[in-house]
Amino acid sequence: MFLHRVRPGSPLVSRVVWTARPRPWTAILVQYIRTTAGCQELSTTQDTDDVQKPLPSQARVVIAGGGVIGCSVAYHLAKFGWTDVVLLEQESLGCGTTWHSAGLVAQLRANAIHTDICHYSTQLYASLEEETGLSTGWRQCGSMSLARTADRMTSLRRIAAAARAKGLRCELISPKDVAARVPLLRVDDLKGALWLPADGMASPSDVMQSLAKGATSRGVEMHQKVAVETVLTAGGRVTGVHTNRGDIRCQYFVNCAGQWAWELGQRSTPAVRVPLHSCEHFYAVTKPFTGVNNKLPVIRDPDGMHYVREYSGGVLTGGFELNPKPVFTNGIPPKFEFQLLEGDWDHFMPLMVQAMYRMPALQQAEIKQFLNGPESFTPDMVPILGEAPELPGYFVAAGMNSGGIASAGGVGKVMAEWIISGDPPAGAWPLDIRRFGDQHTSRGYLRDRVKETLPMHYVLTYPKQEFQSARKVLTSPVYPLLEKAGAVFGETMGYERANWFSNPDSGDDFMDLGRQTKGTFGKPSWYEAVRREYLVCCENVGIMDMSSLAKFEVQSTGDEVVTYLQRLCCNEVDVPVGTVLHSGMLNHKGGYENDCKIARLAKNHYFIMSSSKQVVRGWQWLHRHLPSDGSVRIKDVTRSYAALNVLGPRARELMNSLTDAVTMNSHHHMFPPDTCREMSIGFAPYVRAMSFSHSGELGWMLYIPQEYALHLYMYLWKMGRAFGIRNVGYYAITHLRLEHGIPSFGADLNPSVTPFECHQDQYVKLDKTDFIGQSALLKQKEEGVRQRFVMFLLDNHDLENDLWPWGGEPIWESGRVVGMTTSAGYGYTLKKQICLGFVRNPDPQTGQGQVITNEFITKGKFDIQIAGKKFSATARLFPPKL
Amino acid sequence: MSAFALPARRQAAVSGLGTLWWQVIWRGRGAGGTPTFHVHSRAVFSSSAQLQQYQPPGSFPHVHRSTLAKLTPQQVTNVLRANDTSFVMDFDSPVHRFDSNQLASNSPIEDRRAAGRCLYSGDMLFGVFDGHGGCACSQAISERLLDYIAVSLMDYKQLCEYKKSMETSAGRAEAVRRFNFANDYATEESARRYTEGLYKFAREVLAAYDDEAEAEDCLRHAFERVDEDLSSEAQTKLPNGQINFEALQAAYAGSTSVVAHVRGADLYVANVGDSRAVLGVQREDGTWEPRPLSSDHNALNPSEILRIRGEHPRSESTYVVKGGRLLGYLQPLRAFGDVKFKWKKELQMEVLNTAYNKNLIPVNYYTPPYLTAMPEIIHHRLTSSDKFLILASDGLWEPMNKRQAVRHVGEHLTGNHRGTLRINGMKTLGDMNDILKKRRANRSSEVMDQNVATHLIRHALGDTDDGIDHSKLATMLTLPDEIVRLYRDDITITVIFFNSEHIASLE
Repeated sequence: MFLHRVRPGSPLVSRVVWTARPRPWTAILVQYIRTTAGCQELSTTQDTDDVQKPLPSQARVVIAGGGVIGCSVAYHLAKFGWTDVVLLEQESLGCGTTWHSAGLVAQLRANAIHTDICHYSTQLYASLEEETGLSTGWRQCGSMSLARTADRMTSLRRIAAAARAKGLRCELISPKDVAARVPLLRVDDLKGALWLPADGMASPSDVMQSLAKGATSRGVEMHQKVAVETVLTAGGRVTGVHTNRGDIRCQYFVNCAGQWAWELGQRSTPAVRVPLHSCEHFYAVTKPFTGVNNKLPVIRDPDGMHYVREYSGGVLTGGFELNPKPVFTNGIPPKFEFQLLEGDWDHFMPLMVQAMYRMPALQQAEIKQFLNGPESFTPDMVPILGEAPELPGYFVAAGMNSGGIASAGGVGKVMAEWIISGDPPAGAWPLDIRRFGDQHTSRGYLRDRVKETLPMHYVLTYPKQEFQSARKVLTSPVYPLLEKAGAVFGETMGYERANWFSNPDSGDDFMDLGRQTKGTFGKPSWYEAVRREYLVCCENVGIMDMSSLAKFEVQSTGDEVVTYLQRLCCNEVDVPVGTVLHSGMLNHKGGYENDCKIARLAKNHYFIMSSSKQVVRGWQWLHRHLPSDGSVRIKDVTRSYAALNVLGPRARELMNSLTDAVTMNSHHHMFPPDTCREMSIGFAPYVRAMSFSHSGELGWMLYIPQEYALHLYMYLWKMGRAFGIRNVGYYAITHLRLEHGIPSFGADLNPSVTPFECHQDQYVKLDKTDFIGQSALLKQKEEGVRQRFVMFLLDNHDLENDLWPWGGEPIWESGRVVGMTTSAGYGYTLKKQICLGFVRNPDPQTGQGQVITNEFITKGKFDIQIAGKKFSATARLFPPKL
Repeated sequence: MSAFALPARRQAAVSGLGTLWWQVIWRGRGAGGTPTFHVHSRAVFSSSAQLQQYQPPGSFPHVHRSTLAKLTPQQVTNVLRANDTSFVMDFDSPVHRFDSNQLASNSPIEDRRAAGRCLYSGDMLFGVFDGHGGCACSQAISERLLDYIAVSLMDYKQLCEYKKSMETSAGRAEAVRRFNFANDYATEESARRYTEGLYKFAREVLAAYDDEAEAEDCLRHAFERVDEDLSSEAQTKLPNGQINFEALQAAYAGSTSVVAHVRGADLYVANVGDSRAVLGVQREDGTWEPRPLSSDHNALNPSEILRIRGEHPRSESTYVVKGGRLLGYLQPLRAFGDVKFKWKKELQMEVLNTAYNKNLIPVNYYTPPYLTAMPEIIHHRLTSSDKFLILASDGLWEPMNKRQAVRHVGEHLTGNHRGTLRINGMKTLGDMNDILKKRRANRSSEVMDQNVATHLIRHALGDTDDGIDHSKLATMLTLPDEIVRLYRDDITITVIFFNSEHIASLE
């Protein structure tokens, strides 16, 4: 591998001096030297300090990684009053990836919190110079996202609607306006563009230095040439770090090591998984040419996979190619500071061609520099933040997916709040490190997956789009049969889950249909297939493999487990053995940390079932609240049990036919709803049968040891033929639940939603013993709720020709946005589009949320805005009777 | 037993049947039919021998139609790689590594190859020998030529040492440490004769040691001496008074030869016949330039025709090279062996005609010798932009030209990077795009073989406009013995990679 060394400072090397001093570990290394005033100032002070200054023996927080993220976390901790902070950098500040970043600051992101984070960054960068005296190079030049296709334009409209709802200024402009703003661009093939005046760019090294100065001036210590070798632990908590220059004791450790974060994560016991992988990233810088000035906005041409920004009279153009090159699968070379990889023009060519097509003047622009700087990417293109579930006190902020500069300011703030309060800030779940499990950790998995995620910056993403790479990581025992039956799989936590069946009867004709179909914002290809599955559940009996669900067992010898669960659950858990109950697990604010079904298998033995996404997070919540005396044991049995769901009106007939009449009827008279029983079905013993379904239909969940699952599935099919049994997928279940107005964890429920806000009052027992969130709920009961889960039926939506709602659409009421939809889908029985979402009623003057009354919902005139078009909607507090 | 698939196009051409059927020819080859070359075992691997393992049982000595018998990609790869070898130099040397491979068309293969390091000087020697009229001559040359060259190039001190070693060592005193290829073998019966010849040569070189002799002269001397020894040994009867058939066969058959000699940054290529040496030079912009270091000694080379005509009376000029062949018979215009174009008529009558009991003298044979083993020698001073040297028999050069071969090797060498493009001062993005487009147009398909010689063979046989076509490749490898020679010759390739850093240090 050819490596080039540049130091120190920004990517944009203005003067290059060659020296013949090869590094010892590779003879082909070339060294460049460059000085900039800013870097020198910092490095001289820091360097000289370093030599004398010994490491402190202890600190409250130790941050590993002196890039822009680490500096921002340090800055914000200090700003919020935690100044006993030490930042350790293994080489020198900003030497990893910060220095070669392109410095774009875009605010629109895939999820609301990330947009907020970047929005905060822009404000911070604009004001930081006043505070620290060091400029961030922030320039609010605006940005423009161009659309070449109608679908892209639809996507921009959806983004714009969501952005406006958040209060971000943005404008959809015509190709003519594009040409007027940037005459250099070719516009004859454009459909339009999204103009964001508040976007801009910053100088990466300057941002970092300004943050570093802000932190050090408040008392944060920064040490360079100090590498964290291991993170020390005791009693399952972080207690310090071991470095090449001695140990530092600390309460909190923050891994801000960027593309080194995965490796650093492995250097603690237990290891912390930070699923990210480096990819090469290319950009070229040109010399100045006419037509370019510092007013040039950042131009993104996602259909051409590239971006262009002004750089000292010329432009900087790079992109996110469809065939990215992952690197460093087997580790990052030592001493990779201020270094680049060999430039690959052939690889860059397609992006360059697109850039020249869009801006023809580029053809005559002289090349000043061509860079290949590796950056880290995550399996879902969203940064990784939060407290590691494996190790309390260990925080991670890494995996910026080429958006480090844009995110840094806000990430620092979010992390500082998170560390200080101990709880994730509202809405942080999409970034939360607990969304990843063991299945996301292997280097091979990451290497495969980042090849797909890097292009996601610019590839048009359609609703319900699934990842295609690094699949079939976890499969249920019945997977091969489902696949044969034409299942179109989706992925949740690495687990393959059938979304729908392309041909539920037999034969392979439709096997590949739908797997390859292009996405759409309108009526999806699976509409008919899911309707058939839906009807099966309404008329006969459907069977669904739900093995991906998270399953835990909690046990104790005495009744400690009851006390333990009483404290965690808002519902009464001291129920008769054999009962299945539904309960939330709430945080101190009364918001959902988990929403689960709990079966009492024995007096001191509970079985907890929750959403697939909760495998890590649910476990961590349970684990965190375990009594310290070790009297309660929890066990993650997600991988031990497969789960089959039979649901529909004939499910009882099916269940009766399967099992001995004795177990079904005489013993307990019937198998009443919400009960649990261990029984033999077919040849499979120890089947935990529970009479409930997740979708509001009559149904049974059957939890079976994995090895028996295939047998049970085949047996159910054999016996079920008489009752018209059919495979159904996750989409059918989703549509059933939508019509019943049942909120789902992940989509609708999150830590800032309380049970009272989403009609889950029946699952809250305020009068039982103390539980977490009780006081918040009591208060809310008294005051009333300030947001409310509402079901909307769209009145005049044309199924065939209008774009569909998919969740994330703004809800309008008398000229203002009162909320966003969280789930959406077509009601096959109601024959209407259904949106579920939370409605708030902010005071027009103060912006404070007011109490939501029933009248506000029932009397209000609501509109749902889908990609710019408003549809009037009937709001319902309770779902209609079906 | 072996079977061969023949695609429709080929079959139509061969048999005149315009059918779209695949034709499989099953041929019985009983145990008695084993070719004699197997006696020396460590058999020369021929593609047809390799294919036997893919046959269903049963043998039918008649034409049978079937759609089977096409090779899978893995089988193709197995066939192509059967003889490949790669050596990496573990000592400091201007040669970094070399890759070599052979694919037979004739059965047994008539090509030979050799590589070695001179024990006394550390020089490197590589040879590719394309035999004709059997493999006896190329086999002999491959066993002998490198030693003769090594001895010929020794300085006085080395010669003395070598002489001492000749006298003290019981067996054969090594002048060259050879790299052994998987399908190499040595003819033990002749070993004594070869050693005697070599010792005699060494003593003579020492006796007539010329301080002033250039490397070119030494190489020339060695070539000629080997050819003379072949010739004289064929005339020498065995102690029992019988003809030495081994020696006679080696002299009666013929062989071309291309030999590369690397001493520091000095590269000498000595060529006899129509094999080729091509140097791969990397240009500043990373692209590849072929530099031929040999000229073909065949009828397509006007200076060769002029040379031959000049050596014989004007009256013969219409016959000496006729129909692109020497006297209408022989394709290469220089060769080792082939004494029927070298010996006087009387000698031929006495030795050859007696031995083979028929008249073998070519028509229009008036003023022998018509053929010579005098090599044409090209000296090249290596620079750090000279990355590799391809030595290959004409089997490669028929389907592939020098430019393609050098590009394939160059791209194989640089992997995906295809060389670094430098931004020199005034280049615009538009210029860069033009360069890249040109490079892209020249890009070959993905690299499947680690061994670059195998990579070349794969391309030589399988290349189409859209890259390597598996069915074409499979067809080329399954042609029946009777016709395979019409489509491809024996291919032998040795690619020598130079150690640029070592060479740069010599500059």
